[in-house]
Amino acid sequence: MIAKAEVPDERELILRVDKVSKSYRRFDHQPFLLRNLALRLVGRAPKPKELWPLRDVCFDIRRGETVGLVGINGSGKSTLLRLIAGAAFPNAGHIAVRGRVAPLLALGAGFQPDMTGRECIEINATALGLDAREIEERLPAIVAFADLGSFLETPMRYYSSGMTARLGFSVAVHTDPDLLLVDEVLAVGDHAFQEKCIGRIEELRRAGTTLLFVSHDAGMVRRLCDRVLWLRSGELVADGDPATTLAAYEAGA
Amino acid sequence: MNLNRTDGARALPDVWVHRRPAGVSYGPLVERAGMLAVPRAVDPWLHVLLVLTRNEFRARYRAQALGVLWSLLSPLVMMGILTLVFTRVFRTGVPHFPVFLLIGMALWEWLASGLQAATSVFVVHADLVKRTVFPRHLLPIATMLSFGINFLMEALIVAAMVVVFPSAYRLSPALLVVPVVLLFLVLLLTGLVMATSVLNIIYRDVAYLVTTSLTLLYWLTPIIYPLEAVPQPWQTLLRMNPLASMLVALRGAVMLGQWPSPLTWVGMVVPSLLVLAIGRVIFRHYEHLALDFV
Repeated sequence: MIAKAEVPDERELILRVDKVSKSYRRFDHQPFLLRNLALRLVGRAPKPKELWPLRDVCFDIRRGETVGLVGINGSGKSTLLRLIAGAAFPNAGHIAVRGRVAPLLALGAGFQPDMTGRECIEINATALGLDAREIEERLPAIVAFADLGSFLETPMRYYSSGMTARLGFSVAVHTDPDLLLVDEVLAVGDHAFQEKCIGRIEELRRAGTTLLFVSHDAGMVRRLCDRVLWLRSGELVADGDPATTLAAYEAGA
Repeated sequence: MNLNRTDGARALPDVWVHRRPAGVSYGPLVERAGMLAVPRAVDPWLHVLLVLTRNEFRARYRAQALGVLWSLLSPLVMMGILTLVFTRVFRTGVPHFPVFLLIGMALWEWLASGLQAATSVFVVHADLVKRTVFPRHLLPIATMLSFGINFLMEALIVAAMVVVFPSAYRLSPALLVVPVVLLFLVLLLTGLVMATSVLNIIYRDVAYLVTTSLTLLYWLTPIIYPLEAVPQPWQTLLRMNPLASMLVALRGAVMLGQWPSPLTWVGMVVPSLLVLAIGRVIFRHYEHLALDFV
């Protein structure tokens, strides 16, 4: 149980997203080609098209919440997670976050085929903020959860895609994060692994981890989340309890 | 593992990470204008740097029979050929030419290989940059440092040459200069790779520019010729190259037991710090833009 009431609201806040917008310039030509640079000098260059994957998005997340993020493909969900994680920067607005943030933006991200499982665990856990002693302590748990068996010292090129996915998830959920960002990665594994992941996520929730996760699986969102955000064309159109928001999303999408 | 953590077992830190278009800052939730940013601990970064450096080094020699021996073999072969050419064909007057050459080549090898590899590191490791989050500037620095391990092994060869050419070495307190010179070399390289690696994301031309510039720089650095052999107006010009001063200091310390002259110190310290500062500014300025291009 999470004793929310005892702690003042100000302390509980873990993430603030304030009027955040992100734009990309979409180049359909090679902008830096010498010919195009010359064209730009004389003002004849084709203009890059502006994309706004996010516009004026505002919300707060408090500690212990499990928030689902829904929206159709291209609605800005992944961009939002990347901005919160710090893998990209907003073009306007302000994001404030505290504690240990573990982004799970893609399973197996940052794994090089030549590295052994142990090296990948080290690199990724280090990148997520663990020191050498903590990694040593958690290594058995990470390996056991990922079900690596005897593959720990084997280069990743010999791993099946399921093993890579399990390893990525296992490292992220064993870093003891305050805020876990999950981008639709649960869809990869088989049913048993999905159940294991959900079990682990529920364990983390009980331990006080805050969760923001993207999923197209309405059933999973309903099961896990106590709040749902709905993004449509980069704008936050709904923010509320799962039943109402998902009903609106399913009717509107 | 602390799975059974109870509520509030770990308090959230009061330090917030603020991400704005202008960049990252650390401080309380509501920042006031003019307030000093809270500096973040350097400690965990050092660990990331060590792990990255070690893995870069290991990854380079995977699936090779001779592995790291290659990096020792190539300078030795080069030393043999160049010594043959310059003592038999062109007849240089440099005393102990093989040792002279080996010191120059070890330093050059670090700079050239390190710079080339680090320049394209964000392109090679695009996935790591795009999908995970860690202090990104450490990646080129780690790549550059991993070539420092090769340099240290080549330095062992230089030291081992004392058996073959005992009269080429002087054991003296001036040897203390060596680590100081290497420190400034690391600072110089850090500045260089921060600039080239981030610019190479936006303009892939940078990698080619680096390769071409290195060819030019090779001849503008007193590697196979001594600085003193260059006629005067040009010699002063060559001293603008910090590598020239570093080589003069290294060779003087190892081969003659000499402390560097004030001019050599200036030629080494000032450009290194300048390049480091400029590299940092370039990295900070282009990092955000570059992230959208990865």
